[in-house]
Amino acid sequence: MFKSVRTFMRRAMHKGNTFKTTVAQGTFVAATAFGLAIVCMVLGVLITMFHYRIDQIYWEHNSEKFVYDGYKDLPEEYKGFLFVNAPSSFPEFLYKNNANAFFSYKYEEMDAPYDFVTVGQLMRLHNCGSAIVFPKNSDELLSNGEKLEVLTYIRTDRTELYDANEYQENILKLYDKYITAENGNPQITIKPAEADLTGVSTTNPLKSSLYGFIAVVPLIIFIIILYTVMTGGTNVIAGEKERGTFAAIILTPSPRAAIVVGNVLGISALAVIPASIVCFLAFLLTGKFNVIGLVIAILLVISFAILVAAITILISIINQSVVSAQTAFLPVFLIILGIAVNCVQKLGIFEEFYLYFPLYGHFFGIGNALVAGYNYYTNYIPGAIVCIVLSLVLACLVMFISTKLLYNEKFMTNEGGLSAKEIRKSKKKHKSLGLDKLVNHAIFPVAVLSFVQLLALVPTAITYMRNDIYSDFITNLKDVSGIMDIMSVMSEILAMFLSSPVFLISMAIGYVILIAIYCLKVRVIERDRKPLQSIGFTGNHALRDYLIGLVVGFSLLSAVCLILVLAGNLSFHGIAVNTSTIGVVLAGIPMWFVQGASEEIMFRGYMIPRLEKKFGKIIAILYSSFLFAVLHGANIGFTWLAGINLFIIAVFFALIYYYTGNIWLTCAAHTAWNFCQGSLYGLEVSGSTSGVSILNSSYSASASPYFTGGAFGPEGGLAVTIVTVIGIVIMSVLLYKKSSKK
Amino acid sequence: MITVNNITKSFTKDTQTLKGVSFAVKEGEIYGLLGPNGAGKTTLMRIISTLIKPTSGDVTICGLDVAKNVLEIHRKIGFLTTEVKLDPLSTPDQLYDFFAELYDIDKSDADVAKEKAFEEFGIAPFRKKRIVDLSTGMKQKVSIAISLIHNPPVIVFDEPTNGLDILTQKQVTDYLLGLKDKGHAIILSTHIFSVAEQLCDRIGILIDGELKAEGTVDELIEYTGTKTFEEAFFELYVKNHKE
Repeated sequence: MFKSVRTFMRRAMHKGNTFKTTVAQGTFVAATAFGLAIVCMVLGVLITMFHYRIDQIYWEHNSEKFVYDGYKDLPEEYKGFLFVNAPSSFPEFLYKNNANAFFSYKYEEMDAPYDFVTVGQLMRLHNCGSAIVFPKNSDELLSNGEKLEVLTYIRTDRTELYDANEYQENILKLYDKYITAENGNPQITIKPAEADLTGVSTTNPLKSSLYGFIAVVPLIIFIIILYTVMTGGTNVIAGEKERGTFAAIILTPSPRAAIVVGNVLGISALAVIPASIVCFLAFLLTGKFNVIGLVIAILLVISFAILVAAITILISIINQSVVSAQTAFLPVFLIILGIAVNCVQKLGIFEEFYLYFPLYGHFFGIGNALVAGYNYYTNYIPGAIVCIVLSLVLACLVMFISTKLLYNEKFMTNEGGLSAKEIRKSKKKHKSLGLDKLVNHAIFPVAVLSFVQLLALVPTAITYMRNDIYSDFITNLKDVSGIMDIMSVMSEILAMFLSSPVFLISMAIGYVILIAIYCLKVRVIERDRKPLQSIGFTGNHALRDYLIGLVVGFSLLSAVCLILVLAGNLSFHGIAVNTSTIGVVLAGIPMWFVQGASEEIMFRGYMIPRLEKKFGKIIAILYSSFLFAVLHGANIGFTWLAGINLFIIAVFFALIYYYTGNIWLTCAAHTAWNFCQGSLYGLEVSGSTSGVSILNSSYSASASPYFTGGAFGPEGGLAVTIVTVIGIVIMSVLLYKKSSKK
Repeated sequence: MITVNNITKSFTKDTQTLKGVSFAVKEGEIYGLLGPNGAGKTTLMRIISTLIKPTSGDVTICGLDVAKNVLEIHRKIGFLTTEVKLDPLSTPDQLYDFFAELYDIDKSDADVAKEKAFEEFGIAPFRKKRIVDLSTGMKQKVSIAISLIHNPPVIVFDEPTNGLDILTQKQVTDYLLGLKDKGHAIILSTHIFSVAEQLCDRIGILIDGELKAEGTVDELIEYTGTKTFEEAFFELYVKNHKE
């Protein structure tokens, strides 16, 4: 028995991790995306732990300014000032300087001045844009004549606040002068500021960052285990049935239990290895080297992996092919991932009894065990043990059922149910309907787009992870009560990214990669290799068409704006761009060029002729337009009207494509449309707020979101509907004339 | 050694694939099951080798009830069918080792047996190649070698010479004759008359899930009153097959 278990375990480890042709292509793409996401998350943890933006200021004499003009135009929620652990003389100082006239302020107390998560929460609570955090025992330090180390915080989601550091420094300088004058004691000297005030790094692992830690590390571990177990577990028994090799194993005298247990152990070992490495890294990162915590965390990882592997093997036994097993596993995958997300949300309102339940207990247990050195939740051990035992018992139960099923002839080979031939037949039938084509055309753009955008996010994210908003983002995860919350946080971050040249340039590079992927697909990957022109770059008047396209795009959007202005919904207030933001606008231009081109290649140049070949023109236009609209569905502020608009915009562009026979014109029109919308008129482009634009625009208070499109931008409003419908009518007439000429 | 007793099998409620089949095979005997496609040969062989369970009736091998002593039976039979495939990405070497472990054969014994079997079947030249890269004949040789890894007293081969060229076919039939001489009981299904005539001591004609006739080649010819074995089979088929 044990020998066979070992044999099956070795085989599962060997077979489970090899990508076979039977593993769906989509899985591979998803794997790549997951891998990248995990890298990003790990980088995020590393960066938040070791290097975040804390502006450290030493007090200094010779201050001049108290009033900060930048505060005047700020919205209410940023106007306040937060003072944490202020010395007793500070209120008096503010009062004497009539600070009330310049800003509202609040006082708070807290333990760790570096705890940016708490500071962030307090700032949000009191509507403060900036905060000054004194050491906890500042009075005592002052009376001992010691130097105070003061931290200043600003909220980075308003560019207007970027100068606030200077302002905070000035307040501190004034205060310094004030206390020095008050007690007239020259011993309370504060050393002059260091040359570089920003980005002071610290190697001291902080309690606050552990918050992100206990959310992110278990999440990474969950994803690693789920993913590895899914690919491995479905590839062993279901895969063997599909390949017809399982009967030979069933015919050996090795007990069925050994087949089940061996495979479960082998597959879970495959998953435990990377997950344990993550645990170990986390163990090193905490810097406390809590060995018992690490052992408990790894035991939790092992028990979780065994439980998931047991479920996967059960699914693998019930199914006859890898794809059907993976499909059947998907709900399990989503449920467990949902539990993980639920755990992240519960971090703030964590209750001890969760530690005792499998899955919940695994998530919280892993996090707590790893940070146990900080006495976050000291009594995590009994919960972890109960959780491990319970999940192993559950796993045994599942394995017992699996073993029993293996005695049922229906599950022993694939002949009992569908034979290999029948499976092939049904696949063929599937093909003749062309459903797989439709699905492929939907999945491929999604996969490529998410891959490319993720790629583009990496450099930007790395640049921005030092910002407080990023830590706010992690903190906010626990307060997330619905999709709208996630959307609003995402839009905050996206807005920040969009005003970053780094992001715009990396997006541009990303879209270039996307275009390259499509070229590669047409030229190399697809069986009937076609010239590159087959993605729509044909025609003899490329330059002429492109220029016309730019004019078309510009006029269309200008018409939309004109309608909005005439209707009194939109107004312009001069030029918004200045010397410091012109770079962002310039960096945006190449981005809009490749972005427009890439979407045209995806939805028009590549997709339409291929769909047309199988389904005819009408379906090609409608389906590609439908996908175009649906793929924008995840954008911020998406409404049904926005979906309908995007659909008809896509139909309009498809008609232009048919009229010109190439995508030069639509590429240019798409680029000009987006550029005008975002970078020229300063409106939202399909839900993305452009950070910087040439013109300064604003909606009037009475503007109806049905007309202006609200947060989605004009594309979500009726103004665009009017212009596009007119465009479609014109194009239809032109197409009709063209065809009747022939 | 093998007793098949009134086996029936229904996959669906309406149709009966096997309708009460009984026969017995002795030590050192090759029993051939001959029948057209869909007669139930493969089903019968799967029942004998425990892959599926009969609806009624029983099979005993070496005195053990097949349904009740599944793992014991696996030690006693070597089963070969075209539906049981070898892992395409492994090499014959790896597969032999894997199955030797599953049959609980000592590593040293298995190594000796492997060398011998690979030599006998001429697998040695391609023992390090992956199964997917092998020809049909090579694969069949590997399959046979592996199905006999535990030196089983009972051998159940479903169309062992299917798709093989004449040379490989001869190698296989010679090998089976050798096994018979060593006292193994062999059940063989085939639809190639020459193989049946040459190899089988006794032949059962399976038509529409029923054993219509049984006996040596000569007995069958005599029973149907025809001249050749082929004619005898057609005679039986025409007489028994319901349109």
